Amino acid sequence: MPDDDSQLDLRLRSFLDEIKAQPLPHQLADFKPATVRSGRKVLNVLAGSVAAAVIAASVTVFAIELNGHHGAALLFQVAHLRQRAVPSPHPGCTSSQLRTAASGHCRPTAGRAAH
Amino acid sequence: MSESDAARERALDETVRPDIARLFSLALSILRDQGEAQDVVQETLVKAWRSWDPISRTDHVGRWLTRVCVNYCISRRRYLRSRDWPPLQLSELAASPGDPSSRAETVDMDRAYRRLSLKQRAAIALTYGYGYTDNESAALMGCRPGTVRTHVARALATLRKEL
Repeated sequence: MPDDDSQLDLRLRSFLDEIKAQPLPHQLADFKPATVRSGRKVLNVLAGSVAAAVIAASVTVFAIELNGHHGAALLFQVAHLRQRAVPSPHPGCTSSQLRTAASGHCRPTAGRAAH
Repeated sequence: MSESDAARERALDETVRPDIARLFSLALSILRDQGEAQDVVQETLVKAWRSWDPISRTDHVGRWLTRVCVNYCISRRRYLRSRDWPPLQLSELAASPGDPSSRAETVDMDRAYRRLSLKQRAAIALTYGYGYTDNESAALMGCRPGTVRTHVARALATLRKEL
């Protein structure tokens, strides 16, 4: 067993030595990390600008849409409030009765009770 | 390129250039693929460039580079998987032209060596190929010395079985 171990040890070491003797690829010998960095920096700036433009456009569209909806809702609310704020001359009358009353055929409940 | 960048590149070149061949053979002995080993060394150099200011102040630039290189090698499978690239196993099967496969004995050893996990290869390469102690290898691999010993023992058992 120790012989086997020493033989394996020897083979392993010679195998690793052969790997160490491999020549360095020329791409690695001439590699400049600075060039990678600058390329990436430009890409980052570009991606950041695009992202900022997309966010700004989204916010603008959202604001326009919100403004449109808000205006319509406000108009509706104002109209609704105005309608509710007008005191009915005949509290017991429904709106259809009031319309009939306007044409002269209404018999308001209060009048009926007095009658 | 600004003047400070040029100065930094000069300093990096002077300090790191002598280590590139060592890093490449270490990466090659762990990954057993020239292209992958080259990529790992390039990533290591880029990382060194980016964090040059803090590491240039230490006396252990070589050790720092080795640690980063070993960690990149060990996490290579995960890195490739995260980018939907072909798994390392496939590229390992295609032998590179420069592989030391001239002798049958080397071919056998290479085949058996490829059966080991990346961590086992890293432990074997650091202790057998580069003569680091268990403690030093553990520091470089980011694990405990006992774990390195386990990796080495299991790797040797696998090699014994395969050869």
